[in-house]
Amino acid sequence: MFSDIQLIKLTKDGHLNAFESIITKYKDKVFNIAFSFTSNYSESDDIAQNVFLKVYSNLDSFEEKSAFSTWLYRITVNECYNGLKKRKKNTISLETEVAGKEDISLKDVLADPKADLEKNSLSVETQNIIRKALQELPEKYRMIVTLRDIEDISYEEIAQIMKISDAKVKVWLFRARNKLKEIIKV
Amino acid sequence: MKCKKCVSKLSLYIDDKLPESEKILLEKHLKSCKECFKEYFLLKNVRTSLISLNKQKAGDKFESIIMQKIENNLYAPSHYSTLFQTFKVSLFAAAFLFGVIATFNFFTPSPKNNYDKYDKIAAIDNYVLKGTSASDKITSSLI
Ligand SMILES: [Zn+2]
Repeated sequence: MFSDIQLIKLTKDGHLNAFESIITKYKDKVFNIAFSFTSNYSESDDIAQNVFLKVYSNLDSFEEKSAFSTWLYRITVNECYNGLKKRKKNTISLETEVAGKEDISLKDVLADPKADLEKNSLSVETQNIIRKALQELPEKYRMIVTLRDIEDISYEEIAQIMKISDAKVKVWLFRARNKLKEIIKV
Repeated sequence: MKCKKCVSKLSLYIDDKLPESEKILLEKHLKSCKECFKEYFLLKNVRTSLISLNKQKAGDKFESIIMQKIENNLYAPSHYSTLFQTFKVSLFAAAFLFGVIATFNFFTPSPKNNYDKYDKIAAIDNYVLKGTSASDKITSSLI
């Protein structure tokens, strides 16, 4: 198994199959970040494609000071924000593909002792409620809970990816989770 | 620990980011305060719900779509573009040099029309020399 750095060097030397390996390794993570942010499949696909094309055309600007994944996720975050700008520019708003019933609250699910959240058994309905709630968060809060809670990225790496201080990571996470809790509670 | 402080530490607590001393104080408060425990329970479940969301995957043809775009040369790595830039500069320099030489040649009268500057003998020499080279050519072709 080649390391990320080795795969990048091989790509720079013209071995395109090395870049294909990078894509295979990270495509789902990048796609899932985009989907958590947009709740839209085709938009997430566009974002994920742009991410890898940007990575390829900017490989020379990658300094090996940080992990490749940190740099990749940084580009992903930027592409998510860029996608959002494009979406805002379009007069026809794109509908999210999450079809949650608004009258159902997660409060009921959370109060249900049978709801076994630990074992990844969220019903489609509950998932839709959570994804809808995510869409109601301001973008920076949506991004930070995506990175921390959905992707399980450390505080330190989040600070590098989002280019914010460690203290800000803590504050934003606190606010994001509380806001999300309030949205879901209603 | 007061409720307000407890609530402000809950997010760090569920990520296990609190120093041991604060963690002990917070846990002590949670055991005795129902309101704060409820907050903790809800917050913890928000995080657990997010963790439990189904992971969405990129399509099977994702790699081939990107590789196709790269191979179609729509996207060139920056070092390629630097190379291309260097090539463009050299091409421009070469074209400029060619232009200068061509202009210089155009305005400089050719030696053929320069006979009037020579004396007649020189002109005859030139003629003879030309003739010689021509006959040499014929001879060499016969050999
Ligand atoms: Zn309390």
